[in-house]
Amino acid sequence: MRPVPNRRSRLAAVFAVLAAVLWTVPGGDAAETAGVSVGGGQKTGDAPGGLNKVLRGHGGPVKSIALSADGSEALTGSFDYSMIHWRTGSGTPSIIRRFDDHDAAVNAVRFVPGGERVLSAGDDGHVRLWNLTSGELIKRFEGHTFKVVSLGVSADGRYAISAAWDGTARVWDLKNLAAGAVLKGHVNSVNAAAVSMGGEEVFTADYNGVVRAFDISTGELKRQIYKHGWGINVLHALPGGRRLFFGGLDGAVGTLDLVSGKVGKLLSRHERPVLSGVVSAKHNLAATGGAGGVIQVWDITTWELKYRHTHPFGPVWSMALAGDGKGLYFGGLDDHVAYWQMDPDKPFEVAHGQVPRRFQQKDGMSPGALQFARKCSICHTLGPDGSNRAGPTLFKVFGRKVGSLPGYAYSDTLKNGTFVWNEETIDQLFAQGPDVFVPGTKMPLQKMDNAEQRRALIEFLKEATQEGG
Amino acid sequence: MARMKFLCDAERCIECNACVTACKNEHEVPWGVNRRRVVTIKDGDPGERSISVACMHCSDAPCMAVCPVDCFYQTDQGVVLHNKDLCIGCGYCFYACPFGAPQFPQVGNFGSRGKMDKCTFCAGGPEDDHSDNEFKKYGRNRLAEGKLPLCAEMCATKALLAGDGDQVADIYRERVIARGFGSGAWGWGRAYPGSGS
Repeated sequence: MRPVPNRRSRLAAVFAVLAAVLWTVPGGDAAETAGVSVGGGQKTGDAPGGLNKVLRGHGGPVKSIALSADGSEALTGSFDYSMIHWRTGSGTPSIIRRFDDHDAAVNAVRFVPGGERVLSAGDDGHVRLWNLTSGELIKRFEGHTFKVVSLGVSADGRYAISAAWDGTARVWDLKNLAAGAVLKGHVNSVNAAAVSMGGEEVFTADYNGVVRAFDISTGELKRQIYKHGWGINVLHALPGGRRLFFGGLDGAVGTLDLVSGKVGKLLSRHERPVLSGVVSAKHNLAATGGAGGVIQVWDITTWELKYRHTHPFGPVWSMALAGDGKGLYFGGLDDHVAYWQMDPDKPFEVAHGQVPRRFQQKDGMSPGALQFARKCSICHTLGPDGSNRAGPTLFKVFGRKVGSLPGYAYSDTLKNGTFVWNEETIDQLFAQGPDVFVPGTKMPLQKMDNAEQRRALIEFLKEATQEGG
Repeated sequence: MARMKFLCDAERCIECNACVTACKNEHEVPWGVNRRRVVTIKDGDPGERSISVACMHCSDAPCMAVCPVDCFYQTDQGVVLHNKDLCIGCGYCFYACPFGAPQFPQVGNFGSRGKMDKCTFCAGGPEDDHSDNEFKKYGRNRLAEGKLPLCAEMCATKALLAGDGDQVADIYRERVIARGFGSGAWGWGRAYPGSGS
């Protein structure tokens, strides 16, 4: 039998691993370059070498990043059911406001040009329009029946476009706060949507790699532009209005001619699927990020590959160019947004080869601790200050009335619940599944049929969720 | 113990979609979900090719690496399966998979992200072999009956091969020698690095 380390040593080991991950984030030299002091008493920037560009505040992987036109502010959307508004100008990034009113993971965020409004959308299928200054939810657009994975906004800020895995894209009128056209004809998931430079057309890309053009006002399918075969995940309109920039499941990256429907430039491909991309007319750059951690940046006039970076810790799901065009923010499986200084390129020193994240632990733990790490830690913490993951902290959960932890945005079901969490109710939660035991909860449907695993998990939680646990 | 693998010989695939239909029928896969599909590249242009694609049951499966709730497991025959009771439908496996294999059927429950569905190599799932639950969640368990995946058995041109990896590789190697050129085993090197062909 494997010896079981005591609780303190287990937690120390976990923190050591987490610290190792945090301290090997690209951009580590940036603080010294900028002369910005590190520290400040919060989680941001307190590692050796300085991490003054890293956006740290989410409690789950970051799926979307957007920067304001001048680069002084950022939005991020995360698995933790929240969008965060950041100050990202000179100095250490700081959180301006957290937008928690989502019912599921946030997959896409956008600034709306010409005002103080922003958009968020995600797994709950809703598109939300917010007032950035007041934090007020202006409008929740409903219509999609499955997760929204991409948002586009017209240059004049009049229309928003959402692409969803329900096989449609939808137009939302941000002036009249009304639903617009539903863009149909896709056979499967719609992975990306973009608005033409002139604002008259919407382009969509789907799981089958088909790129289509729709009229933004009527929703009429105007033409099928291109069929790639493999799914297309990234689609952006390029300056000049005659080309699109795309990235595919097969790692292909290129430009599409809107008139001929042919591939114009085929750029150096990723070995893994292309998952994120950005185009900046201001900086004359286009970039893609892939499942293998590779980021490539091109000059969009010459299509020369200007910068290339390999993130050693896995996929690049989201990215945004910094305001000066010399750096790039990117997110993936980690809770933070990393920063890569492209120009001048800074060396990237990897202190640890393959550091598992909290939900990637495979051994060195008791069975109950492993169950928690592998199945629960993506959404829950155990300590008193861990309330910003998708679910509430489990600190002192035994004996707590359901839906009663202050500061967490519970579903009505849990807010109105009357039972108390204890060994029996937690066991039933996983034996029956949240959808049966507490129907209406925001908790994902998850069951553990194995009674022995449930028992091990509960035994671990009883100890780890105590004061000083 | 055999190491199960798929191989699609793109030189033979004629895009008949029999593999897709066989899979849907055998497992009663819901509408809108394609555990297997035929991808055609350069459609209508010189160099057009069709490839039958599903989960390749990769040696070092990237889906397993990114799953935040540890719902994947690999059988002793190398088949990559997942537990739908644990899956939270986050979609991370979709973004990791180079074959676009994970599928996400829509469900009606509010707040639910559904459960991922994918090819099981006709090996069922974690439920008891041949149980109703296994069939409902994962489809037919043909491997437990001593049979191979139906998609490959139905393939009229034998473009799609399934079975012991060594035998599959031998068959393909003989074909390459006989016809004098290779390059048809799309995805083999990516799914099974270092295993040759």
